[in-house]
Amino acid sequence: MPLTTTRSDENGELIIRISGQFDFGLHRDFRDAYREATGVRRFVVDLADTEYMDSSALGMLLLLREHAETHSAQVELRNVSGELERILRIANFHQLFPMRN
Amino acid sequence: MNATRPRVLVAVLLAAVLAVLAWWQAVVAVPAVLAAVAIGWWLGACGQMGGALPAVNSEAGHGELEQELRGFLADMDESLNAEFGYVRDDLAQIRSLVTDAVQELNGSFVGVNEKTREQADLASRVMSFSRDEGGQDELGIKSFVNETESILGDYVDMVVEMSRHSVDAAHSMDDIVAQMNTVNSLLDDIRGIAKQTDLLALNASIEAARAGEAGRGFAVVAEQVRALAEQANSFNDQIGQQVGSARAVIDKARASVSEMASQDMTESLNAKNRITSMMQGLERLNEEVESGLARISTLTGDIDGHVQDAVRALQFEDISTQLVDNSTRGVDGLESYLSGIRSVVQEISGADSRGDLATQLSEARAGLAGQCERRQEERRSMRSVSQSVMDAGEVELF
Amino acid sequence: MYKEFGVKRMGKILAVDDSATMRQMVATALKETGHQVSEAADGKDALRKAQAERFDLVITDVNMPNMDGLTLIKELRGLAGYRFTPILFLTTESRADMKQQAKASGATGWLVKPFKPDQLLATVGKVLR
Repeated sequence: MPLTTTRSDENGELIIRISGQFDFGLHRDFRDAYREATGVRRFVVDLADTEYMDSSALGMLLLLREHAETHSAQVELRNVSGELERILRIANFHQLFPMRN
Repeated sequence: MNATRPRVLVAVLLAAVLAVLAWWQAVVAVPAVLAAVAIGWWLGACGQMGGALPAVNSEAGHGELEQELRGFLADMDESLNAEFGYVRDDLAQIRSLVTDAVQELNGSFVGVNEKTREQADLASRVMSFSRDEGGQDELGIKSFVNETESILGDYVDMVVEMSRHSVDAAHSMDDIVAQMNTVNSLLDDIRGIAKQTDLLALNASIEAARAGEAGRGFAVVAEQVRALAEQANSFNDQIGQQVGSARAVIDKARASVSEMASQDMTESLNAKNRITSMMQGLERLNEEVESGLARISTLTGDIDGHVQDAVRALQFEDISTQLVDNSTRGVDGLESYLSGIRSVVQEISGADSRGDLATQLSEARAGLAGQCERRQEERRSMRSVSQSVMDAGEVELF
Repeated sequence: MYKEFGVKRMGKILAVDDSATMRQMVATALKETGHQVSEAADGKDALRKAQAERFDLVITDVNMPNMDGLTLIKELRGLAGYRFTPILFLTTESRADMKQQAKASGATGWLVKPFKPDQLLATVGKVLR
């Protein structure tokens, strides 16, 4: 599965883990992963196994951020490194999203 | 005639020559030889007076020797005069050579100085250029790079924003498709109802036929209900087709949106990397230029110091010119002293027949002493130059 | 080349020396910091120029043809407008009696050649302040 969702209820986290390509093909699954979830305080996108990311992934992350804002939740990017980190930095995402390893 | 008289005369002449030569230190060998001759002569005279040695000298011999010495003196007078002339010429030549050369050197140093300053000015201009201090857009490599970087930033922002909208649009299309699916299932429901209606109408027709004439009117109604059901079915199919083609359009639109949303960021990343490395290169270049310019300004300072030292050292011209002038005056003095001696000798040699030699000698000596005093007076009034090295002189403010 | 020595006041200076090179050196060093420099080849020349134009400072050699520096200072002190003008001697002359004579005639200072441009500027700066 390119996208798996883990719910961690004790700290209100929803972890979306993406493997392989993070591109347009995932847009439906990605939205589905967070749209219906309730009581989430923090959405975590785990990019540890992500190999590639194009601009649609950035668009999806922004939409997630908008969704989180309307639900008073945070978004955090986890395990960002290498090429992905550089792409996120060019797009100034390091100023929009807290990143943690 | 007293036999000792020519001998004394010759001794006086010799002493005179010695005095001149001793003063004229350049010719050291001559006074040594003359001293030897004088001593020999004197010893000869003493021997004769004591009578212990055989008389080797005759009156004629004395005359001859006197003549010789006179001639020698004349030669010496002549060659010394010539020598004075050469020395004076040489000193004059040295003076003008040194003055010319130093003037030229000084000009060169002033030139070096000006050029160095020009160079330093240029360097500081370059420095302010590279720092973009020299006004906007004058050199502007840095501002060009900054501009490019901000354009790239805008481009990336635009791409991200476009992707966000595209994904958002795709989501909306997903929602529309979901709604169409609902419409489709509703159509299916309607189709089922129409089918049931058709069946019902069919049954009604059969029942009406069975009822015969009494059911004829009902059969017409049943037939119309069937037609309506079929019509409903056909509408249903049309709606289904419309929905189907709408889905096809949406699928097509989604493909476009997907295109739009999916921009490869690698190119932007590469561009960004190129700009970053360009910036770093520029930074390095800047550092190199700055350190080069700093070095130039240090060098300018060093050159400045050297030029100052040179200007100080070149003042030897003024000092040595004065020394040369002193030497020239020394030569003049020497010459006049020599002419004094010459006149003494002439007087003595011409004093054969008249007067007392001792008186004449003492008069001559007094004349010379007077001359010597005048000469010393002159020396005192001459410039005194005490410098022997070219270190900067003392400064005293009263 | 020559650094500033806090010489804020720029002056009109008369450099008197029979050596053209010396005059040029003094003039170059002083012009560098913005002073106006005129040159005179001996005491007589200097006196003529001093009468024609007011100078803020006179720098003179001692031993010169026609009129020496010591005579020049006596003449200058007799001129209207030069009673208190600073007069510096710049000379190879190191004899104490000459220096005393200069001091008695109202000289401001005594600099023994060779001079260093910086040193000359510093002295001129002090004298003109």
